Amino acid sequence: MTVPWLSVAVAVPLLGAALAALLPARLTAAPRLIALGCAAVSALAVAATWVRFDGGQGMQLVEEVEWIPALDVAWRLGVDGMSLAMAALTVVLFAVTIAYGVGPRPMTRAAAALLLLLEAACLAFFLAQDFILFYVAFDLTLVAMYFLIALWGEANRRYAALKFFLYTLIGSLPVLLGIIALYLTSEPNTFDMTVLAADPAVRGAGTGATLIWLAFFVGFAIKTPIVPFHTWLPAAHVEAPTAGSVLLAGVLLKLGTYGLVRVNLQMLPDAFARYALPVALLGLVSVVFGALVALAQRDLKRLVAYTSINHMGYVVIGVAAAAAAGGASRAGELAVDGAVFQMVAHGVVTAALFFLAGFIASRAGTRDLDELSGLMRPMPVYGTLAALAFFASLGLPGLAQFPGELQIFLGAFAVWPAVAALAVLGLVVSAALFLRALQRAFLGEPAERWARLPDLHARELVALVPLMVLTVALGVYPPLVLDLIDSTAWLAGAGP
Amino acid sequence: MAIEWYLALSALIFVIGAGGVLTRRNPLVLLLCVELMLNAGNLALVAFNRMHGGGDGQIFALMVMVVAACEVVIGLGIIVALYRRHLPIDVDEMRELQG
Amino acid sequence: MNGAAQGASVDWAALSPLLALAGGALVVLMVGLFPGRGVRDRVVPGLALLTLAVTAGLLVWQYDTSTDLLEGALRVDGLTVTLSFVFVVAGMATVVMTWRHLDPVESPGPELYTLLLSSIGGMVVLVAAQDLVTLFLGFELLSIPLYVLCAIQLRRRGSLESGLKYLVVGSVGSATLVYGFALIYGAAGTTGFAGIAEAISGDLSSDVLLLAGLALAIVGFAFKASVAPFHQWTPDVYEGAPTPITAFMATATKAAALGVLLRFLDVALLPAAEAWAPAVAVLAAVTIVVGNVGALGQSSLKRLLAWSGVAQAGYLLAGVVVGTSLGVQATVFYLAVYLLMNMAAFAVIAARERETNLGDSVDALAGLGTSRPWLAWPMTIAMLALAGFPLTAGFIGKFKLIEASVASGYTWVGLMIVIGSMISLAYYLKVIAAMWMREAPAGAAAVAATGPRPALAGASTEAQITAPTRHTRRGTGELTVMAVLFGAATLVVGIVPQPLLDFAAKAGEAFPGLF
Repeated sequence: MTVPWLSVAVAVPLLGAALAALLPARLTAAPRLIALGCAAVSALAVAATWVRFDGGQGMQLVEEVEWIPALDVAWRLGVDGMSLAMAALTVVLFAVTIAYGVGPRPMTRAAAALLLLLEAACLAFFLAQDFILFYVAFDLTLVAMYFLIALWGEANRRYAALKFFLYTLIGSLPVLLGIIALYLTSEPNTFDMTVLAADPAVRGAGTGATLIWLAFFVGFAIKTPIVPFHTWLPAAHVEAPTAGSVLLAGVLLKLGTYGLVRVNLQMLPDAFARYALPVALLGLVSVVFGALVALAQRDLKRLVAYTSINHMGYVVIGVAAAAAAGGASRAGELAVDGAVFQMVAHGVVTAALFFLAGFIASRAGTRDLDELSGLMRPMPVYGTLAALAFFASLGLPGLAQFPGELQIFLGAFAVWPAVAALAVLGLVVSAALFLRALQRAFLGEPAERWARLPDLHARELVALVPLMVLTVALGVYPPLVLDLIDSTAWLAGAGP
Repeated sequence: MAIEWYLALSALIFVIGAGGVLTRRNPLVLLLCVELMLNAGNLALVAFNRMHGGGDGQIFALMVMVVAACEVVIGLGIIVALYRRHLPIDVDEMRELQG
Repeated sequence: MNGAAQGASVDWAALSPLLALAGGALVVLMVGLFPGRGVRDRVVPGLALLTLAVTAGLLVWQYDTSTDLLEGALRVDGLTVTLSFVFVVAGMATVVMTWRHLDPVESPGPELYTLLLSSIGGMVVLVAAQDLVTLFLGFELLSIPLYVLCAIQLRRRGSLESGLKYLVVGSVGSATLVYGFALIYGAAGTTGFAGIAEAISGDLSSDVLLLAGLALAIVGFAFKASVAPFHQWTPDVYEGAPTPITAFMATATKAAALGVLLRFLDVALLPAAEAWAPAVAVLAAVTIVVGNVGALGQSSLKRLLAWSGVAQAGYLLAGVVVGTSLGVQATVFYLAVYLLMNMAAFAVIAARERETNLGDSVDALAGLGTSRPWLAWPMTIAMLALAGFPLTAGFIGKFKLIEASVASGYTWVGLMIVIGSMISLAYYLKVIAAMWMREAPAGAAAVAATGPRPALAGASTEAQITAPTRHTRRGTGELTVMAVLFGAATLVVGIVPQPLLDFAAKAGEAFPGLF
């Protein structure tokens, strides 16, 4: 009998969450152990799936159990290259985040339950091959993240949590409408995403197709976020606890771009091709706007938040270029492969950056780059890792974000040379801002009050080092993940 | 006499009743106006019954009369209860009737 | 209604649920005449519950019946049976909520339950009716007891005002309905639904008399279902009526009003669908907007739920408009789900009314998450479900309604449901935020044991007669259990909706004329 690894990967954190929530309060060490154990099992299950994954196109290892027969809704999980890459990113980030913890120590029952619930929801989203399951997971991530921010965030946390919740929930409603429209246009009516992706029911770019496409686009654009739907992001990031920021930037933002590829690109290719240029321009605005606003920030966390908008902008440009060129063409394939690789790389690098911001805030009591100075001297390990992460984030060759961005530029250049050229501008600005931050806060003489800051301790290293190893590994040997991503059949009937 | 005349009369009574409900404020008058509206319906029912034959409309009208009586009894009961408590029986003065 | 009644055979089995309700109402009234507090406090509510349980049992027995009764005046079919279940469950919940809610001196026990049972009987007649006369009788049998129930707290001003207002508005609705029926009868020449449908499918579909009658009848129903612009009474009456009665009106009356609309429009007037469907669709859209916007600024929970009920009536109308079997199923499913979510919410409101001196204000819920998690969780689930959040029953319900409207070409109505849900988040989340994000105000808790409820205090000299000792028996245990049960049911139906979907499909089978 084969083990249903995908269901294990989703169900174990879910059961763990229930267990952690129902635990008696006096077992103080148990919540953390349960969380770690479930995260480990989930990671193992994804690893086992990777081993069994045969590198071919299309959905594999599909597991299906009937759920609501009247609506043809099923517990339907499966993987292709993109799903597996995102699932792997999810389990890694959750493992290190749970190891680092959130809220008071030892980890409370609520913290363990919420982290595991969030992990289960994210995995279910990336692995779901049923639209209802996909949508349920999409909304469940909101609930868990809302509580993570509202319970353990900073001073203004409730406002930020509510803003995050309202924005993204309002974004999810058009997605629901789009799902129903796709359901009703498919023949026979189905929520099975493998069927809908393999043979898109909605062809052409008429009014109906455009509206459906737009409904999905708005929902995912809010989640990604693409300017002008981004205003919830800085507030949420600044107020969220460190673990919340890490997961928000590392995993939750990818829900938006994943949806953009999975639904808008794969299921509505013709409509996307027609509106690819406006989308690319919005992506370009995100790139430039994100970089410029980041340049003006003094708060390290806020700075990283805006660079996230910048980096997700590249992803959007890559997906749009693929839509315009057709995912089967060389340029299109290059662009979308790069975009998905960038999603993974940005997840790893930004998670590291938010950890770094959290670490310094917990020591110095501030994240203000103007106040901090000469941190390299008292904290050499911290300084070195931060420099590495900064360089990765600005796209230095040999580090994680370079291969993805390069591919996006190459792909986009073949379609819209001007857009690609302007997007490079964003790269220049983000290089400038990271170098300036490095120079201001890390180099030179430390101020008196920073001279005795302790360097990273074991728990922080456990969280950070795996991410830095991955950053280097992805940069030096991109095929590690790129081969996997490349195996995905982006458009029906035409693969790599 | 043609059916149109009966219909016109019943419509007129109905409109008078509806107008009264919209403009008057004393609950007793409101109940009277509702009675007018119901009896406009009765008139139409009986007239149509005459036109179509059979007994359906007449039976319906009898039922409506019974129901109208019930409604008035309940309405008067509540008004008396309010009156006994020295509460205003002008709906404009009622605290909670603000939409 | 024509033809001799003599020698007519009566299908007593199919009629049995209705007879059980009527008999139970009489027994409750008679038993209530016996003296003694034990009779009034325990036996009478127990008998009312027993009556409802017997009715439910008879409904299970008649689950697969599909037959005309009493010379075609009534029809017991899937729609009647499924909606009757909704009424009976709502009635049981109301009995539990009223049990210790009303002051025994202030409000008579047995009459209350008799009225409740009569009203439920009226609802069953209403949704079973397939003749204009029976329909009107059911409508009034439902309404008249409710007027009294609203005003049953004879010494509380709000209750009396609520009853009077409901009576006036309800009577205007009835009068409009009668006039509309008179015109339809005039046009069609018969009062039976089948006859009307037959007459319309001839050459009557553009008859002025018929259209005018149709419009007036829809207005009459709109009053009862609180469809905008005939909804203005709803917040006032809901707020003033005793909370258990509000809960009953919000769930059972709404189910009855929409159930009768389903049968009236989708059977008798189906041939004239192109005349009424666009108009009703516009009414639905207006209702959704008006209800959701009206709910935004409310600080009283009962008013908030009243406005939200207006909005939900709009969602439900979408299922009526489409005139398909899918629409009927979606409407019945949502009505059942609506019962679950609302009863959970009203149980919490009633519990907090007894526990605090803040009445039904949102403030009464502040800090509930830490102080009373067993009340806070059901309320949270109910609010999320009303907003249509996934994994709650409300999500599946809204989903079915949107699906039904999009499938029949009313995409824009589906869009209105989605937009309405977006707006509604603002006020449902406000309630959730109050429970989980705010601290309990000092001195709000545990007032119930020390004195008369503030709604009574200062209302009149008579209120002071109510002895403090009486309040020692006003616990909230049964309300907590009820809230947890209905909250859990909301969640379970959200995760495993198939059984309830099958139940609603039963109602869809009742209309073979639809596809």
